[in-house]
Amino acid sequence: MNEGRCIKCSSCMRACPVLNDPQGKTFPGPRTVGIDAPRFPEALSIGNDALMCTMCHACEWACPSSITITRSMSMLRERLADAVPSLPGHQRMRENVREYGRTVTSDFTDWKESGERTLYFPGCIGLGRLPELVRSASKLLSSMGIPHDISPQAKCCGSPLLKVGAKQEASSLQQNNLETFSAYDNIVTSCPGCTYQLREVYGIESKHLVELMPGKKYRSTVEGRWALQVPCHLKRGLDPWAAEYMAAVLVQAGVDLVRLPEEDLCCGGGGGLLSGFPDTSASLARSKVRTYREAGVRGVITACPFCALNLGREGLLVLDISQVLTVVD
Amino acid sequence: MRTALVVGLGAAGTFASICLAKKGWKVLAVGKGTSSCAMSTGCLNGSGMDPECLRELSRLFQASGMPLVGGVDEKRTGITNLGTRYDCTLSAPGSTWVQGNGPQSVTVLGMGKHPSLRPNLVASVLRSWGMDARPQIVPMDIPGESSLTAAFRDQGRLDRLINSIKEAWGETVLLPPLFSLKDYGRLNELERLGGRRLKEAITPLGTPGERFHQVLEDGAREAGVEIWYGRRVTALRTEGDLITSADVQGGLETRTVDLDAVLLATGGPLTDGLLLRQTGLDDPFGLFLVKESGEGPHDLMRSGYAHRGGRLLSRSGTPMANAFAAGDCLAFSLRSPGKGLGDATSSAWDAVHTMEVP
Repeated sequence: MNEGRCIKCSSCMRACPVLNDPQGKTFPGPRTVGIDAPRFPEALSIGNDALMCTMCHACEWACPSSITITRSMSMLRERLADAVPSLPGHQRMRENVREYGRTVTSDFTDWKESGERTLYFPGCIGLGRLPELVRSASKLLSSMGIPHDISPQAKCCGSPLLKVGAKQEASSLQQNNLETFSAYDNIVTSCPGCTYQLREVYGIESKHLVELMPGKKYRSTVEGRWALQVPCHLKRGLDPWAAEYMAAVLVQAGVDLVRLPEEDLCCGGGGGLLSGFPDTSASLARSKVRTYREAGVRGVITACPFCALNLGREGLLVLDISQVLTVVD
Repeated sequence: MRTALVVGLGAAGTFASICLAKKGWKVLAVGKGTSSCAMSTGCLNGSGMDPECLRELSRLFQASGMPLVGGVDEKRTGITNLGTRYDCTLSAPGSTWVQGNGPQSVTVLGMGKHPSLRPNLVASVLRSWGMDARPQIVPMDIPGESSLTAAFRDQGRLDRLINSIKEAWGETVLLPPLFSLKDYGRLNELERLGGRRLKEAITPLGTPGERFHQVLEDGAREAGVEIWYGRRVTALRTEGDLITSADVQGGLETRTVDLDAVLLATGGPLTDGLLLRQTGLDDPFGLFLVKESGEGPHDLMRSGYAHRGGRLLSRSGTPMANAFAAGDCLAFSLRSPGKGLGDATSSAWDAVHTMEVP
């Protein structure tokens, strides 16, 4: 990879939300895990603490040498998976995938299988934990003039499995999904993690709902002042314009939106941190919730089921962008 | 409203953006990666700076809760995290003292085994230049890679630190930078509770540079600058000597913006902007003339964009009508150590005022 470009400035470490959290002190940091370790045979001695990263890409954006730290970390995770026993939360997730094809169980029943040209791919967390988010995203897509299927045949995208180094299992999911996708022209997602996996790993063109929203007129369905929680995988992973899209659409719709510098900070929900290190994940979420409370907003609007879940657990009102807008004809 | 595109989000670019926005420009500021401003010591050499420029900077720092002390020519001194002497004219209050008014006796306080400040090493260096210095360690366990600003949000650790400060010998305690911009006021609180004068060691690649950058970034947001972080300029379009529009790329999408002026603050003429176009390399800023510093042949690291009266020159040597630059990407005939932030902000101020003249 390109770790050799490191100038030892430590900018990645100062940008890391885990290292900056009191519950993150056992994380060796992005420079050790993403730059130094992968180049040395002793790399695996870090053990599972190497997984204390949310894959939020903040280190990558901070890097003045544009080193693809997250990619190096993924490669290390793959080697670690064979060398150290996996964490209880990660094991549970893998068992769920083996048994149900998804990381969490789901009793979602509103499947749509009418042979449309577009497939809406909600992802495991949406289907299993936030079915109301999936229904509102589907409703919004329909009113945007995008008729779509929601297929029970589409399984986990494989991203959470790659995050715990289970490459084989991730590839077999990919094969299964690609077969399902072959019946469609377009794939639309509402989870930035899935979007990243489909685009960067599968190599197919898929769009997150947020990227399809500009150009239409919307009306707000919520009252009060709101802030944004900008999803890491969407903004820093895929589309640096994501925050501008979200803000422009919301402001046009009449939402009273406050832009906070902290809107970009990771909620702690990604990269397998939530399942592997729940205490650290919760601590990151708590500190974000504190910031939002201090700003005096009613709640936050996001476009990521992980953000919604993790911040929601700390008592913050979190709504998906599809839950606060309707299309104006 | 006229639109200015500022390329580079370091000290020069961000400060210029603030000044332009306050003068009524619509400002788009584009950049990626951590700037060298955020890796600096956060101290400035202000010699030669326009007093008005200093007033503007001071206003920004005052509003942030971390005022600037010193002046354009005031001689101030601090101690680096290696124990060496550091001279500047402007800094945060907890970093330096007026030259000649420094401490006679210093306790160098290390935070457990954290490598931020090594008390034995620093105390012995201080003694070697005549200061009465003793090392002391606050008993606590902080992993070497973890951030002190995060560690000292913990009240238990702060209490232990206060006890150590009370026990410290001498009039002044030197300690590593512990507080982010938001928490900077805590340094005063520590001073009050600990009963000793406190000074932060001058530390590059750490919190002080981050704080400096944060002051400017907050100022830019406040002034209404649109910050497009994580994106880069991939093309500038011209009509004669006029830049008319630019392409800004991020991810899969490239946006074209119409411009009335462009200000380069890229830190150098060799940027991340090189692009592969068909079979060749393409530099979006390749239309500007680059001049060597005169300090050595073909020294690209020290060369910069040539300018006349603040206006950038085209490759053929004629001035462009609406292209300007500030900071380290300009060709300087002389660049002395420690002038970085001072030069960057001064030249941003100058560029902004040149842009006012039609």
